[in-house]
Amino acid sequence: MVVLDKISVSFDGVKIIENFSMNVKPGQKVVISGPSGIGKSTILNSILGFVEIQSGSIEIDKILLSASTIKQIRSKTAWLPQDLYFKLDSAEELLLFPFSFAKNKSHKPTENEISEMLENLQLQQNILSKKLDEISGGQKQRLALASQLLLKKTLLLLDEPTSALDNEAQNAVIKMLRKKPELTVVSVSHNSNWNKHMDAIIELKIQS
Amino acid sequence: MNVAQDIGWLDLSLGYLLLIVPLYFFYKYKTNLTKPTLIAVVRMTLQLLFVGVYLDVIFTYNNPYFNILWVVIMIFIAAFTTVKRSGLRRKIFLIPVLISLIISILIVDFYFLGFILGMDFILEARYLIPITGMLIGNCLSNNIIALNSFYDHLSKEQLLYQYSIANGATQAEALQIFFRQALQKSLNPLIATTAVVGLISLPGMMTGQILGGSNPMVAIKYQILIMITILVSTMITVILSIKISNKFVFTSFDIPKKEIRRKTSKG
Repeated sequence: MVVLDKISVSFDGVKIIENFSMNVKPGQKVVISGPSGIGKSTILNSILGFVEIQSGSIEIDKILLSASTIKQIRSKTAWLPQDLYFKLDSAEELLLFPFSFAKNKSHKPTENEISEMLENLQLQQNILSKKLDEISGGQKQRLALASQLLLKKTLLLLDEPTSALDNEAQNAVIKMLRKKPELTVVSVSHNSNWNKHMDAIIELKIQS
Repeated sequence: MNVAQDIGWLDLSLGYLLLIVPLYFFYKYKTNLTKPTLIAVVRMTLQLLFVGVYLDVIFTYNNPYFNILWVVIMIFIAAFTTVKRSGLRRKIFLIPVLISLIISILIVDFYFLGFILGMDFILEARYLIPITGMLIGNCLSNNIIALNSFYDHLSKEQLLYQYSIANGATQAEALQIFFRQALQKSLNPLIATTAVVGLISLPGMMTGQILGGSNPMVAIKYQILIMITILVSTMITVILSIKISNKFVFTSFDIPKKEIRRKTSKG
């Protein structure tokens, strides 16, 4: 599903990622782990074409990532960034934001689907009526994740998905992902609870 | 009606005496505005005197080529000023802004002068030059606000843009929010001015026409059309400037290039 072959990424001449490879099978849930600043998020950003790789190749669902295929690849992904400082008004707007795009309109969730998703992620049903600045970081994170899951994409990219979650909320998220065997997950985290529930841990180490 | 009473050169110079009032307060409150004010007044005087001489020639000969040349010069200066004042890279933005202004002015001028006024010769200097000048002036100031807002928000809220395109948005959909903000920011003041015109402000053109001897109702009709055409030309310029410049500011992966803004020199 996700094949990275010896990719290298540099910023302003400084190598951030060098010859990194990974092979994630369909339905597999993996985590890229390692110390802060080592380039974990850069790997997710290169899969999404936000940063361009200097060498190597990236294949998503057997499509080689390039300028001409990036739209096709992005149509298969859902991405949860680490920060969610968006200028959106309400919790409901955050949840339904991706469904305002033409491509996702047909997947707009029903009230029942939303209600079930909120329950699974331990979010109160009345959260949608709240302003975005009235809810906590953890609630916001789960709300955005709910949105990603409702999109029903095949590849979910999660950047530090537990950074604002307590253990109980983390377990609810993990349980939810485990209910979806067809969903491939590539996450970035240094949370040991999260990591131990993933199928594989890909450790990034500081190169000497 | 008679034409406006001429102002003698000595009388004109008496007008400059009024500047003593702001200059005194600028000095008293140490605003550092004294020098910029003096420079601005000198520039304004020289520019207007130059334009006066040029317009005198233009109006005397009323040659279509001279008239077009003057409009082209105005559009070039407006495009340069827009890009410079928005802090954006000239190499990327000058052509898009120039094209936008040309298209917008062409459409609105043709509609106003050719269709509404039904002029046989739409390059008639006394209509073409002041009306185009007013349109360009408004397009310029509002386009600076729009471009600044659009690219500033795109840079500050790049995460929202990335979040959108990574979750199914087309580029146009992902940019819509920045587009909306730019339109609101640039057109809101213009709409507010339109709403109160006549109540708390008497526009320059109308005043000028009345002073020049026109019937007030004729001046008002012109002013109504001017307000509408300013709104329309500004809207067209803003939309085209953003849309056309968008073609040059993204990488082949639809990510904004780093070098959109002009480098500021370090002090």
